Amino acid sequence: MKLLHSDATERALYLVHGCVFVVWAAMVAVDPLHKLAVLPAAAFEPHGPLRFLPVEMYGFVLDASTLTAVRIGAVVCCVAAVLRPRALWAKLGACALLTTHQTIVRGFSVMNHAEIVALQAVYVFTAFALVERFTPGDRGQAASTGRASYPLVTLT
Amino acid sequence: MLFVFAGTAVVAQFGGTEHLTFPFVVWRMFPGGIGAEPIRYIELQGVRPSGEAVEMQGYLLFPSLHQNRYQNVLEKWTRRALLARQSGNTQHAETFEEIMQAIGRAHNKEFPEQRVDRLAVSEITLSISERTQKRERRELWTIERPF
Repeated sequence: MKLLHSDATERALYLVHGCVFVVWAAMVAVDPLHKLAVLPAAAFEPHGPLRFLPVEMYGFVLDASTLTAVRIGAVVCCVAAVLRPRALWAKLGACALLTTHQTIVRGFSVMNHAEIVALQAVYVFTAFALVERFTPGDRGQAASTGRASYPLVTLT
Repeated sequence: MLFVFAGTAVVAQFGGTEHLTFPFVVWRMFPGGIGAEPIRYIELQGVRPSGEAVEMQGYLLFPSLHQNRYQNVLEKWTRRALLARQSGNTQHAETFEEIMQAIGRAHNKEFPEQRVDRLAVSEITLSISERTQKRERRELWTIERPF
């Protein structure tokens, strides 16, 4: 059995990788997340990782300046991930900040699966970049063994 | 890694609560027609000092929520507050009033030319099968200033 995109090249990987991070950067850049700060903290119901946040921290996390910082940080990480595809810190930062962004939006509204595929795509690219970083062998070997296709197969 | 991601996405469908499994959540796909007639939804209106009603477009005040999420959360807040009021639980009712006050303040700041001094939360009932667009409004909650 042959999986879809199993023969994808490193170039194809970078193209999809770039598209995902550009879309996220654009979406977050135009999203005035800080406006949610006017809503009372009682309206916020944390989901996912933010459930572990102490209630005393809500005031800080839901402050307009913190929300703006999350937004700017997420955009910077996404842009850096596009410009420097091998920069692991950018991908890890994008994972953390985009998850925070999406958790805050859902905390003030309802849980749904919109944007989830794009978010999970960021996780997939980051996870494979981590694996690649700690896997012995050079870049040429990765290309010849077809490892570049693994993230795309996972996304598919 | 492929199996980890695919497995997590599948397991999350049976996880029971998305609050725990986010960002791996249930994919709700509802093909088919609308089952419930008539349709009921919650609408938030502001009332200007002149008595003129203004539609409160919360999704413009909080663009991050988009229109769908804003409408859904307005429903959630209102239904929860109504239940709380019926059961004598003041906490959810107070939270609801607090949220509505915040929306009123945000509206007056964002649209000073359409300043409101009262908010009315109503349930709108309409039938789409009759194609009459006839809407019935039932006021559920009123929030007075200060915003």
